[in-house]
Amino acid sequence: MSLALDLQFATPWCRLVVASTSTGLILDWWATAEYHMRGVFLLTLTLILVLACTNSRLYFVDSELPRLEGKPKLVIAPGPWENKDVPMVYSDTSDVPDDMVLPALKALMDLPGAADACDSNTGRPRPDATEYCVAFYRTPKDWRVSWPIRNMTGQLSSCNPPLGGVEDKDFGRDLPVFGFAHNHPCGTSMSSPDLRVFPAMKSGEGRWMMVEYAVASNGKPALDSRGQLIPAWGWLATGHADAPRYYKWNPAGEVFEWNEGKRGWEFQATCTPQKPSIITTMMPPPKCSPELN
Amino acid sequence: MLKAYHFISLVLLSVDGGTVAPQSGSLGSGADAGIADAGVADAGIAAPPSSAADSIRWPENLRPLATLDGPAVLAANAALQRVLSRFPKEYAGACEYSARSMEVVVGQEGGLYFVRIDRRADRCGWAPGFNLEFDWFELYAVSPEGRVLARYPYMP
Repeated sequence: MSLALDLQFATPWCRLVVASTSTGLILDWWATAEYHMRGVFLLTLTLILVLACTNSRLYFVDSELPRLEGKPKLVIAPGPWENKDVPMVYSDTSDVPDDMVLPALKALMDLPGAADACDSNTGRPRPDATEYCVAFYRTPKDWRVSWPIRNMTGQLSSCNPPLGGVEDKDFGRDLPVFGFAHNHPCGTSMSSPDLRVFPAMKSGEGRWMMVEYAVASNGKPALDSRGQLIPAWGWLATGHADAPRYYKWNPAGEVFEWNEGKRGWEFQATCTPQKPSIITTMMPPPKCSPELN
Repeated sequence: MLKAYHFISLVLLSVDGGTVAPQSGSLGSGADAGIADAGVADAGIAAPPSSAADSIRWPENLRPLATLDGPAVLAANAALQRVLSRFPKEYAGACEYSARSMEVVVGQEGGLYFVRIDRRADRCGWAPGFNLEFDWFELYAVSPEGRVLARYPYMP
């Protein structure tokens, strides 16, 4: 295993430390340093590296995750995402709190290859362009985000949302999933397929199905204070790293965009997925009324 | 003899290689993501390099063929096999990763066949109108002899 491969999983801090320790300057110093100073240096270096690189995982790769009932499509995401910028939020609302959604979408954009990953001249994606998926879920105590899942490195391909639900390190499985978020590394708006990805559950007859409301994979739905089903949502982080755009949509195709100035979601359009009728190099965008910019 | 820079490299490798995957309970496959990446890479034929894709003139508005001639069938089969080969081997047998859930659309332009593979979860018992993944897109350029020349490098 190469060092370069491992460092894909390291934090920028860790990468900085590793890079700096590889400089010729340090090697030159080493050659002339006294023996006891070398010992002090090594001890310090080891401590710094341990601190910088511990818990440096950024995401999980789809192929290393377990599947529910052994079904390849039912990926189970571990949770919560251990990212200092992504909080677990205490809230008694029945909707996923924005105090968690927005930091999570921002953190998605910060992952390697998640944004600005297209060549500005050709419009083609760079080899490191990556799509990540997370689930938003609720525990008996708070709201949480699952770890991001990506496909294998070196392959330009879409991510698999955790249709098998979440395994939370504190509360285990059978937690209701309220929807999935993902990023678009080349900054495009929602694709037609994006609009129709929602949580999955096992029905009473033992059949797996996707539903338009918040549900645990065992089929137990989340209910609001009036005992009603809670609609699921989809979320997208796109645009550029320095000018991100965040969208969310519900099963009716109502699309909202986050307005940072007003600190709220603004209705944009009602959109319907389109199926491709011709062969071209892109998926047909959804048909929206009014048209999306 | 162990030189100083050898030792530093060893320290770096051992520390980073030991990065703990915060998995819990039954999630504990114990595989480091880096290992998983390297070990479960492309299940079969490697994707053509992107330079191959650069040399192709990809269609922008190509009408699919209504009737498939022999070379079109060869092209469709080659692209479908390429898609299936990209799935991990352990998924073989699952409907969603088999030809059963794939739909093949073929067009011809500039002496090449362009084949798009769509995914149909409803063929595997899922309700129509839902998708099992975001942004699935597989488009291939195939020669009339059935040789896959390139996969279109698509990301949204």
